[in-house]
Amino acid sequence: MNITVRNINKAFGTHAALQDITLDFVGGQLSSLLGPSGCGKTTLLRVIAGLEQPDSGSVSFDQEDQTNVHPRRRRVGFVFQHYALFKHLTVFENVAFGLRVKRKAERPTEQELRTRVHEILALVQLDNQSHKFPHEMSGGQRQRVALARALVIQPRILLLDEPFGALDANVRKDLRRWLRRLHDEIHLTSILVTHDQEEALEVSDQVVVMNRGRIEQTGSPEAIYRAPASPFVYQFLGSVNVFRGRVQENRLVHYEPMSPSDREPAVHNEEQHIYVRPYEFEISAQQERPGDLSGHIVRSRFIGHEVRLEIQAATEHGAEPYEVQLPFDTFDQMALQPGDRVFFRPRTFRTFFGGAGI
Amino acid sequence: MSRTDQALRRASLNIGGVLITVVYLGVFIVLPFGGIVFSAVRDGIGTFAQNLARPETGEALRLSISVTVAALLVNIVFGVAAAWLIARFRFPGRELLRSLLNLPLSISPVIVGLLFILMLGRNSRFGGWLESAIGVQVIFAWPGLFLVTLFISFPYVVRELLPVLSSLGSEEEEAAITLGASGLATFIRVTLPNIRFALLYGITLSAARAVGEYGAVSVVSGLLRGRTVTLPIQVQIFYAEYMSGAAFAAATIFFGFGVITLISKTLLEGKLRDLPKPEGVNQS
Repeated sequence: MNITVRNINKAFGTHAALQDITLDFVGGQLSSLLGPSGCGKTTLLRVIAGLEQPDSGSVSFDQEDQTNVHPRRRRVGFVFQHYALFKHLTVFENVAFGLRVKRKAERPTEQELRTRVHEILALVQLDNQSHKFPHEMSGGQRQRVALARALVIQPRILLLDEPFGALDANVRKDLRRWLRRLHDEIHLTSILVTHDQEEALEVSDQVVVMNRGRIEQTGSPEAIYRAPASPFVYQFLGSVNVFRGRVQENRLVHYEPMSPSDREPAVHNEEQHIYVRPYEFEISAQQERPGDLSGHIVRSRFIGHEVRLEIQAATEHGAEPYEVQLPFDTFDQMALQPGDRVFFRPRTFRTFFGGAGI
Repeated sequence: MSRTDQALRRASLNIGGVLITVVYLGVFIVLPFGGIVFSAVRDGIGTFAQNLARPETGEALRLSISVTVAALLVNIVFGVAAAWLIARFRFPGRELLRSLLNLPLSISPVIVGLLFILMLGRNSRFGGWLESAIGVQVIFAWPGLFLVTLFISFPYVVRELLPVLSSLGSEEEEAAITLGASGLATFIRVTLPNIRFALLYGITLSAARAVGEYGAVSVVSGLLRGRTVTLPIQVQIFYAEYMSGAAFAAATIFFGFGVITLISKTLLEGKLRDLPKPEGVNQS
């Protein structure tokens, strides 16, 4: 089922939650809406489900206009961040709900209903828990019940609103991998809302990055990560260091730290913002090239096999420290300590001409 | 000061507090109630039974119950509707509606009675029209008793439901709708089970208030014996006519209502506390 969203606008009071959103979701794919909180991603999902009425624009499933169709008749599976399970019903009855409220003519017999509920519960690996109440289960199990409940009505599309947001980091990782495997089995057109870039990049076929009610970029996870279309996308996908500098023939001819007052995009004097990821630096104990930056190590943190250093540039006081990441082996060989003076230079870098939006 | 001394001091403070509470409750609640029951059965159980079985008492009780039940039914329907409206929707005049709902609590019942006479009495325009055109007498008749009781007991259901509905949020209802449930099915299968204890609690409070109402009812009653005399008024009439045995016997019926209310209140308060908290409210 292809989902088409055309020119959607939605405002809450004076706050424009969605501004002229046009998107295509390809049938059978798992797409993510990624962005910081308040960027409009949940509102867009709710508009697609019909839980929110857009001020203008249209939503259609396979060319069939849904804009004025009641959410009850859209046959959309919706999974809420906080599960929204029916607290007074058992797992079995929660899942059976969508079948029990069908019109008499379409309602399955009790026997068929049992079979279908147990099939779906088996799919989410919870068939032995069907007698339990939601409050007797863990967060991860509850979210699987919510998913089963949404799937039992054989929805045309599946919408997931930060489904793993309320779970521990480990459970979150397991569950999203499991969701991806499930998706590969059932191939239901799905849209996942998340503010976690790692989650979006890992599970989706297509990522839509949103900011302030607008779309920043749409593409495959690889395309988004390799070729971010704007400083916002670049910064949202991971830590980044910003410099002011000049580029000639794709080479950095001059760069210097930014002062705190220097936040607006620098385009005068052919200078612009230079973006460098923490792991794109070379580091040495002695100065190796004339333009090298130098600073003192303020803190070192171990992230698995990598070490992340915070380095306070010597030239600037009050500026934010730089984040430099290096392999653990290198860190060990150099025998670095907090307080040591080090020199560093970018191996690669990125620029956005004009560089607006940060 | 050592730790044991402190503990002792705290304990003696506690004992003092408990003592004061017990004496206070004893003097102001247990003693009067005990007095009523004692006075009722002072002349023997036989006399008590005779007093209780007086036809006036029976008629008054029937009237009180019919008025209370009718008012409760209306309170349940409109109370749930009003609470749902205020909890789920933002609309102009919402705050005004909220404060209007509490108005009956802050007006003296006697004034309420007078207001209704002014509005619907035989000499008012609307009341006169009702009586001449449709033949319905409101004041000094059952409809009047019903209306003032309704007015007096209305806020309790709404007040109990509002906080529960607000803290529940609308996610479960939205989930039901995306699963294909109609508005009515959503209410019956999802909303109602979540608010049932709060609703019962509100009904209990509302019923207690409705049954015991004296001021407003006595103003619109006109004291037509056998027709508009409710139980509280009957107790007052017996007492004024020096039939204290009958008055106290009738009063024990209220004692019975009181005990039932207290028990259901205690049970329901326990249930309301145990209600699973709305999921994930404090997370994220």
